Amino acid sequence: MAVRGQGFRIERGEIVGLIGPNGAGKTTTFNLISGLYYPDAGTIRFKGVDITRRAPHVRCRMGIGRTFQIIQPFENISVLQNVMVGAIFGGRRSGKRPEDTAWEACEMVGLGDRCHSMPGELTAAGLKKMELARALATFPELLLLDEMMEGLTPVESAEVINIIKKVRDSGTAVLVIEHVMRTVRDLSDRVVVMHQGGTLAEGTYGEVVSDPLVIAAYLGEEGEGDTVGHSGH
Amino acid sequence: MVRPVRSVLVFGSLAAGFLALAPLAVDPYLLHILILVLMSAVMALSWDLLVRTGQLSLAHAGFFGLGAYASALSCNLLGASWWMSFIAAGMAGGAAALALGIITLRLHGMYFAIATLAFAEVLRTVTLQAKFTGGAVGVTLPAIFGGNRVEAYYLVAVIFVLCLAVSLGLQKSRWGLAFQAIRARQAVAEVIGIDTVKTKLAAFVISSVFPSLMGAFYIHYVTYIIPYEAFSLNTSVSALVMSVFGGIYTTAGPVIGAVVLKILEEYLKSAIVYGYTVIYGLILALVILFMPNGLLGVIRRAAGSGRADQILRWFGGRKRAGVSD
Amino acid sequence: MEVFFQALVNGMLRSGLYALTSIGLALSVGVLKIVNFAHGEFLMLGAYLGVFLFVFFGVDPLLSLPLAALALFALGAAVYRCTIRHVLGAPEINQMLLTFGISVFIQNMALILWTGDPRAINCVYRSVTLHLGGVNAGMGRFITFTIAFLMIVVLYLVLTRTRTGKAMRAVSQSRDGAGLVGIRVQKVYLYTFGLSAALAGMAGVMLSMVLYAQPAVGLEFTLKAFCIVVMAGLGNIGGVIWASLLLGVAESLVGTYLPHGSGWSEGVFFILILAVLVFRSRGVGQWFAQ
Repeated sequence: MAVRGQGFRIERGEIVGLIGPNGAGKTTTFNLISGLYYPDAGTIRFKGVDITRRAPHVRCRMGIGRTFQIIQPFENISVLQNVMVGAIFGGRRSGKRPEDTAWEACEMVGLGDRCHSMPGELTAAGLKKMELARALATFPELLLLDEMMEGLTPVESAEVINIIKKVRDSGTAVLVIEHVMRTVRDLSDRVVVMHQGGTLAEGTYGEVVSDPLVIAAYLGEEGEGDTVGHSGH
Repeated sequence: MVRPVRSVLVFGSLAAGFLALAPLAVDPYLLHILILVLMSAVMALSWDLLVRTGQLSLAHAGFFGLGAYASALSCNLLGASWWMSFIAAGMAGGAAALALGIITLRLHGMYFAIATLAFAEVLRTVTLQAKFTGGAVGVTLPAIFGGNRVEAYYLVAVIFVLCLAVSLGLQKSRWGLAFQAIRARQAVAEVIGIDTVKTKLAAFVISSVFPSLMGAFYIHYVTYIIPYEAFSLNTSVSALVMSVFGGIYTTAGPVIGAVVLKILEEYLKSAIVYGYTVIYGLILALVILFMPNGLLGVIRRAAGSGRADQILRWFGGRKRAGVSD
Repeated sequence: MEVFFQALVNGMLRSGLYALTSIGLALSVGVLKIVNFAHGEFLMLGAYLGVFLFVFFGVDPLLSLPLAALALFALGAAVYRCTIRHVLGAPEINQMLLTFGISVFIQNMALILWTGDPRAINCVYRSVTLHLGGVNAGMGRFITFTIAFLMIVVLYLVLTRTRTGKAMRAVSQSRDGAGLVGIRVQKVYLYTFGLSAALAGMAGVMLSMVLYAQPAVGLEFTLKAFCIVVMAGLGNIGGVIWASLLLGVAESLVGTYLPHGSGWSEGVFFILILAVLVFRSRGVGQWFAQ
């Protein structure tokens, strides 16, 4: 209902930014790809396989990982154990020991020294990184990141952008939802614009922001540093 | 982590010693109470196994009755021996849980709770109505072990230890982690690769086999049962209240709750013949409102970081922050 | 054929009480998103209230209706204020355990105070039978049916025409959204829970008029009301009417045509619940397909 049209493709080793006004269907798209919602019609393919009716955990084990817009830590186990849950259940096919996977994922996001903290002791940025590590521990080939930078300072954002680029360089396809245009520009290799549940435009950041259709959709409010997602009220 | 291990060993061997030697020391009436307490502990602990996945089952009475009837009928109609009838009871309970779970566990937890309550009530209707169950008259069996109470005690003690082992085993394993993840954040659990439906289903089946075994034991122990007793809602009520009162999501909690409340119940039954369950309703509401972590939660808070606390924590299975060193 | 029509009419008349009970439950589940296992106990208390008003003061059950509504509204509001309100933010399982505990408490309290013996209102409505072209209908059942549907119409008007009713619908759509536009969500919850209990209480008075009051009737009605709400779909108040008719008629047909049917008809609701849940979970096949 909320998302229509055939959407877009994403390849290994690229970061695609998914943008669009509030209610454009960005998070719904994530839910459809990760399997939390099933579509009423249409198909979803991953590595050439039709996964439209597969359960979320099956998709995870096939290589689709994600984070949530609202952070969702397991509060009463440590950071490392949080990440380990992902490694144990989602990272099985790697053949590595879950402990090692979890350690590596924590190191990768820069939480190596906070591994034994409880989630409650982390900052907002720390929690976001922990959730990223938890998703990484499932060895995703496609990683969906829903507003990772929300609530982070510019310095923290820059740090997380670097982490995400490292993830991309390891051969993962990364799809990100972001509201701040500066982040989208710095992060994305390609941008897909959604509007009213469909894809409106696709291309590099420069192409997309000069597209008259996109500008119309945002009511002309597009510009550097604007939180475009909140326009249109 | 050396000290808690040693404490657990000491505590565990004391408890095992008590369980093993109790029949030699107590009179027949006390032994009877002890049997009832162990039965309650199995009921409460097995109910807790499922609730760890965030699912509320109100069908424990249904499985208890199902087990009692499956066992009694396999003895009376098929000539099974007592242990074969126990296996039949366990299988009947497990199969019913599997069927009910496949239908309901994909849906929101509310539907599961409603369906389990309805299931238990309907089993009674069916038992009352059907011909082969003996209807309202109930069923009768010869007493197990020729009425030897000590042997009956050891049988229920073995099942209790089995249930305890399953509970601790689940808590220490990946399953325990999966249970906790599903309970806390189901959507996250799904997208990090946990098969939530299968996990909940497994928990439901395991959790339902034990009340079925207890039903089988009960009918063999008291030799006679009627549908109203076998499928009494009070059975579900007491199991879940014992668990919640002692400390939900733990192993020690339900056992403590069963010991305290079963003894209280035996006293109350003589004071208030009908409606003693009122206490269970009251306790349930008050515990949820004022001490949602139950007795264990209160003890934990009171004990702070004391030694008793470490033992309880171990039995409770809660992992501490940064355990590895 | 006459037997069939009689069964049909009996089922329809029966469905009036179901609808009145279920609509209260649908309201509280829809607005508060909390499963109230004590809903049937409110009905049971209404039934006893009707009996006592009749026995001790000679009050006609139809006059007891508004009294029961007021009393149960007050009780419902008090239960909300003292208990439910404190678990609104708690995990769902705690909410369900709480209402279940309240249900167990009320039911067994009734058992202690009033024993398990059924009590009924032996008024004129019980003894008069209406004849309509070969089909009979007890006058009490007929009145019950009529009042139940009148109350549903009234409820519909309250929900669509009054400020409070509109606020309830707004909260059921989106609690946060309603809060943002200045609706006092806590107050709406209180009214909703009270209204829900009041509807059950009225159903209870009428139950004691056509059948009897007994501590265990609450559970039976809770289960059947859940069945109806599940059939109708959560928050779908219109669907409740059709679902009630379906359950009432199905029970009546089973009771008429099956040997020892009156016993079996008590299991009909479970079959309906299972059927709906199987349908909802999109078939069993999917699970095996993985």
